[in-house]
Amino acid sequence: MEDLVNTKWMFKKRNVYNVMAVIFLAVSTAFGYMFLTDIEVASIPKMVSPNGPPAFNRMLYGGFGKDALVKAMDVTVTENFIYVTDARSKRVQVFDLGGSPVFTFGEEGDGPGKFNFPYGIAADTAGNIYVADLYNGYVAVHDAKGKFLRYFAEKDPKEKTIESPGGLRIIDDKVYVTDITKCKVYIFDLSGKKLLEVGEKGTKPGQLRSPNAVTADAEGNIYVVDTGNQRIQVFDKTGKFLRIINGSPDGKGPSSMVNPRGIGIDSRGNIMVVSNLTHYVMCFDKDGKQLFTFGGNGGNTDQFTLPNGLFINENGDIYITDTANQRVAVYQ
Amino acid sequence: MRKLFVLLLTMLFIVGITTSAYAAYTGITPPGYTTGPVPPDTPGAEQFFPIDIAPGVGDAGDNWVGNANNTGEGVEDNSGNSKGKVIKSDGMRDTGTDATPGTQRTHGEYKNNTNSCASCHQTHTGAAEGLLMKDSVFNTCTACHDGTLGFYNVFTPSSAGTFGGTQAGNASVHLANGSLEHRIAPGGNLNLAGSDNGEWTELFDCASCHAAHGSYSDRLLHYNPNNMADTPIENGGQKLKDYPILETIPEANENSVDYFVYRTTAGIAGITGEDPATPVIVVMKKKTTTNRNVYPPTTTYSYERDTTPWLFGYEFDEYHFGRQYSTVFYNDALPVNQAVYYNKQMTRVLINYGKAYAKTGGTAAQANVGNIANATRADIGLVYIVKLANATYPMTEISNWDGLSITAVDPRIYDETGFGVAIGKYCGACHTDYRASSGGETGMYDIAFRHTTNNDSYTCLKCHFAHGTDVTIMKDAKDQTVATLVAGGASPTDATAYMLDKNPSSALKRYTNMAVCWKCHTTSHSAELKNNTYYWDNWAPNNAGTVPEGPNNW
Repeated sequence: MEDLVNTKWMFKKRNVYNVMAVIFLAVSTAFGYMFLTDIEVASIPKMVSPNGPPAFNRMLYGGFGKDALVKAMDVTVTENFIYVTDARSKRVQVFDLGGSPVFTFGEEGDGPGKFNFPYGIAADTAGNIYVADLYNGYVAVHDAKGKFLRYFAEKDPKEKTIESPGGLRIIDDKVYVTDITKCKVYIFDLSGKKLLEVGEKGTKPGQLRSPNAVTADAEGNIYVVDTGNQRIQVFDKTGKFLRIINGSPDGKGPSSMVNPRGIGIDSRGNIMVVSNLTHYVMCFDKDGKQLFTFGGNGGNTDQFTLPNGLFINENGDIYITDTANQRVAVYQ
Repeated sequence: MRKLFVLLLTMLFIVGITTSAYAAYTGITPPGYTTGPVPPDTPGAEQFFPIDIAPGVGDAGDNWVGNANNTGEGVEDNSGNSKGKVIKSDGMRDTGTDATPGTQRTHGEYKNNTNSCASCHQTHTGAAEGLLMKDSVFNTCTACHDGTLGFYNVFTPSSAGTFGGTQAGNASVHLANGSLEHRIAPGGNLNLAGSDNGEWTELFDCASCHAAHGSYSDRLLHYNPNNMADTPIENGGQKLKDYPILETIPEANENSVDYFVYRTTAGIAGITGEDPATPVIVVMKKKTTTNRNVYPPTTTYSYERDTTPWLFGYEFDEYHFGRQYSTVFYNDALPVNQAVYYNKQMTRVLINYGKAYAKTGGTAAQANVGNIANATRADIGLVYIVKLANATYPMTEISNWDGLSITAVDPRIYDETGFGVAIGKYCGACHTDYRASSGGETGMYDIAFRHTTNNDSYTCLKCHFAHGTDVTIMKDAKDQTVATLVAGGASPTDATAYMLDKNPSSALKRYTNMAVCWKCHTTSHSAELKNNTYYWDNWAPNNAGTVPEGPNNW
């Protein structure tokens, strides 16, 4: 009886050794393979450092020839579709959530359903798509399928409330629009009633030069990408200037961004901004402390060439338009 | 023993997993570093660097550069007096009416820690000469010049026309996206015959016409378009190649040389900042003056100093041994050197490229390669300069970007003496054969009768836009546009149909169809018919009136 017990115990122990050896070998091989081939698994950085850079997920491409995505400026994502403004082909290209091109809307020109430089793009909760046309000087509202509905905030494009709309976001039923030549940010309700006007032309804190993008955090603080001044400026929801973010401590040193463009805030409150001429996306915490950068100039999947628009959806997926590589990169 | 074995194996397992995970992920701050401002071009572990900057360095005083040499000091001071503090040469002086050193605008707001170089250049493996990335120039320029910075948008109408015309409007553009070679230029050298013939195989993009790093011209027009400043005059360029150095001024007449290289003194040459007795070498050019106040008109010829800046730069020979400088002096008494490019070149002569003169350099023992008294001949590349404003027709400020003046050219400048000719020469760097006088067959690459384009009154920009055109900016011979026709009551459809250029290409024209001819040819050479209402309505019967002038004219 005692012998039998001993034998059983011996058997179990050997099993444990074998299992441990197999696991060890398997894990070492897997990690060794990943190390040697430079594969990064998205979950690893997140596990090791929750504030680390996101991992590349997939790429959206246009078609060939006339279907090409020539200069993707900005992107927004709804429950059904991914909408990308293409300033060179002067239309909006629409992809399904899997990244296949589905349809386009808009054509060259000035008037209902036409664009000359579609730039900022955003969706309201009803799924309507708002497109800022920088050259035509209006924000046009289309339904989810691309049918022109109306001009936003102006009955007629000749009304010049908005002159040169660039960045456009709809957050908590408020429409945020940057006006590049007026150097202002306008905030409207969905009916087009102006609620707030932020900024004026200049280089001092609170002043703007060619603001190209805007977003807001959960408290309603407004983050304006002050492109011409190479910085992000933060205003509270009443439009009071709060601080500058430019990559330097307290925003008082030299800016590390060149020609900053699209901006987004993830669920952790971290701010991501595109530095167009350095081809990087930079990430800051809510106090403006720099956390990491990713990208860099090139055509590889983890690189950008002149990236521009940036959109973060509620799942935390980051969409970045990569203009000169003619694609949209998705990071998670 | 067994327990120890189990323990060791378990520890090995844990260590294995941890180190493998660490190896796969590189985003951990190394010891001694902090996550400060990150140099944007350093991914992975290299993205960290110490943020402690020495007091007084890296502040506004040196433009936030913060390096040991304070190289940013004075970078924002554009007075021209900061030469010793930042890289800014006297040569970047305004060569126009101002001529003050350092007042010629350069491009952008580059900081001394800029990363923008990488937008155009590949450090190691460029697809084009100068380590340029193919196609990237157009994309890079239009990353900002597409209206997203609020000014100098090349896709909306300006005095240079527009790259943003529509197909429906029969747009034509100077296709600057790097897909065509220079030799495609009408009047250019399709056959690339001979040597010293320019850079005809280079791809045409924004940088073919505009020098992003700076130039002597308004609108940063290139100092060496199509490499023509380094191409001999006889091949269509502006280089004095193998010109003997003269010490006496030859008699100027109709048949005398257009240029010669002259050894004289600073005082005689009118060079300031040098002892008047200093020997110098300068370039002289022939000046032709015609007096039309007497009958028959008289023409006199003389020589005067040419102050056009000289071209710097060099090429290596095929063995990467000798340098062939664009501007260089030779001493034919020197022994033959094995390197052909290097042969007989004087390597110690001091050359002031911006002020266009040379003087003796080197020690007394180096006189054979440094003393300009020993120079026997010269190669001198003359840069291209195009100015688009003078005191009469200054640029108008259309916007002020917090100290950065955004201006528009007054097109009337194209008519001013000296201005139109410079424009014609500039365009002629590629459209070489198109730069001609009428009346006879001319051309270097092909021979044909040609339209006059080489004087101030008939220059390229009077008929063509530099960037492009379409129906919305074209005019008819009466200077009407779609906008003025609509304002006058026409429907937009009718006005557009009227103004639309019917030709396969609208050829970057300012005027629709052949109204581009009618605009000037208000009289006919084949008959004595004067019938253009616009032109003559403004003249008094006795020709005492004046031709109406204004931006709408051209």
